[in-house]
Amino acid sequence: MNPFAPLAELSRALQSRQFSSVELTNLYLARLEKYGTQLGAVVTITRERALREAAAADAELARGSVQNRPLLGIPYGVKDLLATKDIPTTWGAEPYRNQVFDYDATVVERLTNAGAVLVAKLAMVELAGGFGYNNADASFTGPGRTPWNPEFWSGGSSSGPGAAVAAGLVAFAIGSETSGSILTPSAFCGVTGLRPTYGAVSRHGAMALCWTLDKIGPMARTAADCNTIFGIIRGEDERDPTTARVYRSGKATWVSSAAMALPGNLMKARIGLVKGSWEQVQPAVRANFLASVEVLRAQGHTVKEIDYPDLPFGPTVSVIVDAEGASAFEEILNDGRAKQLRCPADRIGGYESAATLAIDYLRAQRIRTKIRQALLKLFDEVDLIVSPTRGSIAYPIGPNFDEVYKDVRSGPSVISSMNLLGAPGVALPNGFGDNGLPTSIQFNAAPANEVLLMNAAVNYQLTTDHHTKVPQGFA
Amino acid sequence: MSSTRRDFARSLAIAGALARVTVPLAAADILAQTPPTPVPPPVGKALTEVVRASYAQHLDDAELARIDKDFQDYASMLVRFRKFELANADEPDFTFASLTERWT
Repeated sequence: MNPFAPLAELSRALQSRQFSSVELTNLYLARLEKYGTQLGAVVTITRERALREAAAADAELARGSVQNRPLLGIPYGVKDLLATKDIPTTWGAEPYRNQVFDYDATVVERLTNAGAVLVAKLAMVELAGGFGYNNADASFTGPGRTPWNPEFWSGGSSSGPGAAVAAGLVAFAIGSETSGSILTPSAFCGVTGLRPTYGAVSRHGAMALCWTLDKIGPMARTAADCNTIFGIIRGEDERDPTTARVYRSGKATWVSSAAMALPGNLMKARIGLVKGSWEQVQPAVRANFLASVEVLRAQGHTVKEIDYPDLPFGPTVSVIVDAEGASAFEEILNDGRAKQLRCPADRIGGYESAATLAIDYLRAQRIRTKIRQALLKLFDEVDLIVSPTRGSIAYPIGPNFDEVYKDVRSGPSVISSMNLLGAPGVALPNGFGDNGLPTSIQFNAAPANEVLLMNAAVNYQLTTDHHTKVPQGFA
Repeated sequence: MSSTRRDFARSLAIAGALARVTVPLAAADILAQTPPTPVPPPVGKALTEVVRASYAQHLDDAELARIDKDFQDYASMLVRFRKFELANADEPDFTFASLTERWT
């Protein structure tokens, strides 16, 4: 059994009875026990539920009920902000350490119905980073560590999903992104992460940080895996009204990864490279990005450089997250439990956010309309917007973020802007930089255009092998 | 307390828009103890006082000093944001919908 095998390979092995789901589950449970704590990647190992679900999956496999069930018997983990019945859901934060819900989040429910096996609740930055953390040590489980070099951070706020997928502790994971929380840990851990269109995946049962920005998405070894998982968790949910706006538009569709990978099915795209996003980043990030661009060009995509709109993306996201986050966590601000948070910046950040002026919040949402218009206009010119995911490799554990990589200039904030638009994006590993740490490239598409986005990502990985690399010491 | 804070925030917002902050502190009881200041304090200082008035029981002096500094940095960050031109009819990027279905 190869814990790093992609989903299709694991599924084939399960269906051909090379090993059982219980055996595969026990493999991942053992790896979670062995490596989970040292990587700061795990909050709760859900052994009892996992073995129960694995046994049920084996029974279904024995009956041959495998048609269109690519996740049947496959073990996975979820960021610990998704509710799971009778299992603690801590939101990575001391004030919620003993919180238990009596239901599963919609995403977990859908994965359960698909026959997937929940093996772990994975670590995360406390409150998904909403109170302004400025250091890797911002969770009651300690700093998340990338398995490529555990002296460095796994990224946030989906730190556990990133590290657990990279180290082969789960076959795939579910993360969440408000502004960068799937793409950043995917980049720092060398895995593939998909941030879906806002509203494409139900958030029912997920911790709310920012109602107008929060999204749930998969993190896995390959783009094909992410697309397969997305096919299961996407769809309208009456318990999350934002999903109706996506699916009743009739624009959101899905195509299987296998179909995307068929010869001749590459959708040639007009690719826009964001000027200013690679020129002053770390040398390895720049070199790997330019090499990736050559791959895209060789595949037949049309590539050109684009001027990105000069708009206040960062402050706009900041004001929106501050206002909505302070409202979402008003209770722990009022009763003082915010002071139990791990990162000193988080202990006061929520109080600062609570002083956000209403007029600033509304201004931010009005500017957001302008930002949306400008970015949609850009998507009239190009199909995909491409840049390095991050301008640097992972941050070292210890110093505050603003104390390192001071010479890196990443240009326009593509991540912030795409989150304001609610557009889908995918981070793909594209090589390595200093200290043996991975680098990454991001593709972004117009809202509800995951088919084009993932077609490009799946086909990119058909001609590259960065996503097949495994960190030493975890094989 | 909340109505006082809201009134203050509104006055601060209006004053900020006019670049003429005249209300230095948050709560009415603090206002009563403070003589009028001839020179308007920076908005960041005023926001610190909002936090102090609302959450003083949870924050020590060092933390309030840190918050004060953060607000000054934050105000700098928001300069361009606050200068961004908007017309009267530019709507926020969310809209009230009167005909949404009843969600359970």
